[in-house]
Amino acid sequence: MSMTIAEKILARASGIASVRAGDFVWAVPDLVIAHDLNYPRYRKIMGDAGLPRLVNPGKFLVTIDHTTYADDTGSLAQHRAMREDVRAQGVGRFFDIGQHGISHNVPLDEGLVKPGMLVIASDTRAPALGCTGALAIAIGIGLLTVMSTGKGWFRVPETVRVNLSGHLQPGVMSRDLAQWIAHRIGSEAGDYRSIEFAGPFVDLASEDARHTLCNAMVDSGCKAAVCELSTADAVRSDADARFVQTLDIDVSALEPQISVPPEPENVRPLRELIGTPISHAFVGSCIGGKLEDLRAAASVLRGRRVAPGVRLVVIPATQAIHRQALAEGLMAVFAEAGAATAAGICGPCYGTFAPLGDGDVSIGTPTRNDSGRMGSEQATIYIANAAVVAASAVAGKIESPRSLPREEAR
Amino acid sequence: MTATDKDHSDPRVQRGRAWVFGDNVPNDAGVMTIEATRRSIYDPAELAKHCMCGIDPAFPGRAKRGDFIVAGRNFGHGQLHVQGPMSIAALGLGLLTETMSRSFFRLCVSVGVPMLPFCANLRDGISSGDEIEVDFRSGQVRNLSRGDTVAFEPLPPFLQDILAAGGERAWLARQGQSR
Repeated sequence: MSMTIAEKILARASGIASVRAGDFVWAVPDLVIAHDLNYPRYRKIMGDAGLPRLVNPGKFLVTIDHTTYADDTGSLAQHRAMREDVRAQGVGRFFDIGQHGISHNVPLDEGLVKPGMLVIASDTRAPALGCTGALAIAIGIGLLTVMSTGKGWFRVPETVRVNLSGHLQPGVMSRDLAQWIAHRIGSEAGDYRSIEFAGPFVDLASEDARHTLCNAMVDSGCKAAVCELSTADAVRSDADARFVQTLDIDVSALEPQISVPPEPENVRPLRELIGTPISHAFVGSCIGGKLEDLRAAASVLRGRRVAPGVRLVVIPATQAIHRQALAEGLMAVFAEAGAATAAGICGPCYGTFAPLGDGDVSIGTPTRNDSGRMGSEQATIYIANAAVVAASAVAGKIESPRSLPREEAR
Repeated sequence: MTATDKDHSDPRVQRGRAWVFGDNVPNDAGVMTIEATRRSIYDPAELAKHCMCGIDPAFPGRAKRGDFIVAGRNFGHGQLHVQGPMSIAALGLGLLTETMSRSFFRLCVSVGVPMLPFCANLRDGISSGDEIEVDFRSGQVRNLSRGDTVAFEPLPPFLQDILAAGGERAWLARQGQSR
């Protein structure tokens, strides 16, 4: 029977020859991801329920990415409990403070996510890891069942196929494309579906760009987003696989976009918002703190300074990305420009580390822009690509990199 | 145990009045107030007071234990906030929808809401106020007011077991006790 990528991966992980959309299966994941906001909480629930043992601990990857810099005694006690528990249970990989990074990025640093894998996590942005051709599904507190039994239940999703062709214009980044596609698909078409990216653009795109594409689909309500690559080990949809919808998109005409509150899918052309005053700018998060984003921001900030009255915060998504950014001199550019930096944390995208206060207007690369996402509910959040964020931090207002004066005074 | 569709000792058969809602009822500001999430309310009794208030403020006062929320497509869409499903469970309601958003479906399994989430053309055969009896094991929906029966796809038996246990956490705890 012909199958989509999601059907093939769920069939294989369930030990069944073939499945089709709508079927319910019990599947054994290849990689399970948890972090400091869910792992200790779920482990406590398991203990209270008389299920103290983590099943298949070797498949688990655990990070401290939300409360890394916390200084309250409650968080510190949680960290300590995690350290003791992951050692006692034999968790495969634990990224403690110092080796830490955001849970949706660390697995890529380590090359752990292979095509065809079934990856399960609690946290909502997990589908981002579909960038390597894996099926990555976020199941919230449903992770309890995976932790306690070694398997999880899944309803096989229908698939929306998105064929991408063409080349992005200079100044247009994967984030522009990702938010624009999320807008185009919408939540009614995206919900409960697997979104498959295919076509020549996908094969040429960097892993960072593919991660951005898959990550942004989360806001459509999708179960997974997955890239069909043409590598030898890739899992591909059969030629006659059943898609509920097929979109053919040439990316060549796309211009820079900006997401206006209250939702990331609420995109407009950047030019419509040029000149809007800002007080905060942010390059970071699982979707916007990758090398692609840091390089783009640094290319704008080199030799320039952040405008008075603007706080610019730059956070590489993992320590490994941070190390590479240091080696390339990017972190020095940020420091000289007057940015505040940290590494490997969700930061303002979780309302911590230099978050937004009442009346702030931020432009950044967070995952979402709904009210209260980055701190105060009385703040405004615009989402744009990292180069636009950097240019806006320099100008003190939403600005295109091309419009900055050359040789801005230092 | 063998049970007929009239066996009311089995929680998988439920009888009550239908309350019909439309398409695209959101979780936040539809099933539950956003404030309940912002204030991290997890008290079922408190949540029950606000169930479906975003659509019908009088609903919690009028719905009785055993009644059903009957809704259209894309029910409960939006953020993965557990307060909405908790409020339905707290009122003791069943949930029948034409389609349910992925996030809401997972949460309903977590907290144990009896449901038939994927019933095409459901609302053709049910009006608000109809007395209905639902057998969650077979997917049969008897409309006692109209005198007819329609069969929908039931959830697989393992999910019925989880729901009957009171949700995923209670179901896991039961497994822990049986070891």
